[in-house]
Amino acid sequence: MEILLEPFRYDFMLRSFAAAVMVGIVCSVVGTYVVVRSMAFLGDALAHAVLPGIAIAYIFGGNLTLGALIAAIVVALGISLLSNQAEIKEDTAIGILFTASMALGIAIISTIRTYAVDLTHILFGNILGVSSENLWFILISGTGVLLTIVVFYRYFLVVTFDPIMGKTMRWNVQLIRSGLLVLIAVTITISINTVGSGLVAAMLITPAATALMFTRRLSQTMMLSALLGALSGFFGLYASYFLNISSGASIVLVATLFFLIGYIVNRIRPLRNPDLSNSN
Amino acid sequence: MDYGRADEALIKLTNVSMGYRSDRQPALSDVSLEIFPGDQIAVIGPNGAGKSTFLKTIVGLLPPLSGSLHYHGNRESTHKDCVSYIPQHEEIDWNYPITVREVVMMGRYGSLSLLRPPSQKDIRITDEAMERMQITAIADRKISDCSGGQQQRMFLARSLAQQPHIVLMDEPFNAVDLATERIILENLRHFHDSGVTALITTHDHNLASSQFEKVMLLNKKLIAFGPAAEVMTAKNMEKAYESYSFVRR
Repeated sequence: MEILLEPFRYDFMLRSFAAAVMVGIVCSVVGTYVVVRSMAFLGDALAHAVLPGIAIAYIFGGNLTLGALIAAIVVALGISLLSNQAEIKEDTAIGILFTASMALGIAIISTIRTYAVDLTHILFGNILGVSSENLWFILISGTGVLLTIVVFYRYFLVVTFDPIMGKTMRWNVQLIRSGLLVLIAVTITISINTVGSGLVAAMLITPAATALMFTRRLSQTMMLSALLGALSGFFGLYASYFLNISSGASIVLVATLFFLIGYIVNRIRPLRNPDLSNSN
Repeated sequence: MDYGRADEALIKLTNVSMGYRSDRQPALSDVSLEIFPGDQIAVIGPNGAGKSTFLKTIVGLLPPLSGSLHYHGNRESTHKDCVSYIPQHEEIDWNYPITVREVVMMGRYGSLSLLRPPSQKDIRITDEAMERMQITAIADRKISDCSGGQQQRMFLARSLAQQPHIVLMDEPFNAVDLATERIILENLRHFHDSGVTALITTHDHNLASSQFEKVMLLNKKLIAFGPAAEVMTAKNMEKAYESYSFVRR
């Protein structure tokens, strides 16, 4: 029993648990939009687009998280702007900007001598290095993202479900969509320490995809997804402590385990609406 | 609600060309016509005639390429819920996690402010719209679990809840059962009685001539517009469908 509670005896572990649970929740809620809009590619692209921002901040001794945030937002708005042109499809815009910013990031990082170690931390996270300053940033930004979703819920619902309706109501659909991209960018930024930019896409997609199998409305999907994300963050970190494996990888593997269980349960349970065949 | 005087045009088009800016040619050129409050119009023409483009221009999704478009004598439609658009089936992601009731409630969003939850009045309007469309029993069902007819009726209910001046429907009769077709037609009559204008694209010429006061015949330009008997003449139909070996579907 003593040994099972061991991870909670250290301050740095408590900080890491708080960060992992918060990141799990925010990623999973924001990720619901990523999944319903089939934007998985966008999530992954934005996650890698933070590289040049981090690299530049590192070289000039600035705040790495701030560098990542700025890079992610610039790329998010760039995608929104480019794909507004009828000739450029959204996935094309994403592909161009994501690879370009990733290339820029690698080019800058390769000039740094401690290249390999730093890149590993950015790509796969370094949750045990979460300072109390980092934690406050994660908690405040994460709460900000969640509150924004609550306040603008109706706007994001219409724009992700039926954007044409938004336009007929004279809403600025482009602006709302850009706002959503900024939320995704912020979410990715606060996840870099815990799961790393290489794996954050999994936290955006997997819990939401699992929740989607069992829910009828978006708000329910978000709540179940948040629960799964929080549990993945907690148990992933817990397992990584004992198995001595990368925390980011461990968190993602737990989320994937939930998905597999959900998939199997969904396959074997009876049809939800047996009356569907005789209704009109 | 003020729908304007019946003798004043609700929508007035003067030499309007429509289409996507990126296309080399407009989908529909040089259209001039007037639509009055309460008009029920069937828009017909072969595939690629510009029917959907016409609706998208009226609803404000596509700015006119040239010419002028006025609503109630103004350049833009004057209030947010002036126009209601019922999307084509394939424009919607049917796997979206949303229930029938939530979709119908969206009809009220235009009149809600940022933090205000729907009022008792909004809920009542939503309930009545679902009642009228006979979808109350499936209100809490996920949209992917509804039949094609129920889905079409759900969007009609949302449109009713919007209380618009103009309702636009793109192919509402495609792939729906007879019961749904009857409900759509009944509601067109209801719209007509309350002074709401409806524009509907369809491939069904029998329906267009028997159920609609006015018919608009398009093929890259406006071929004819007016009472069905005057528009759907052999000569006009031949003109619109010249490259088609059959006229009726």
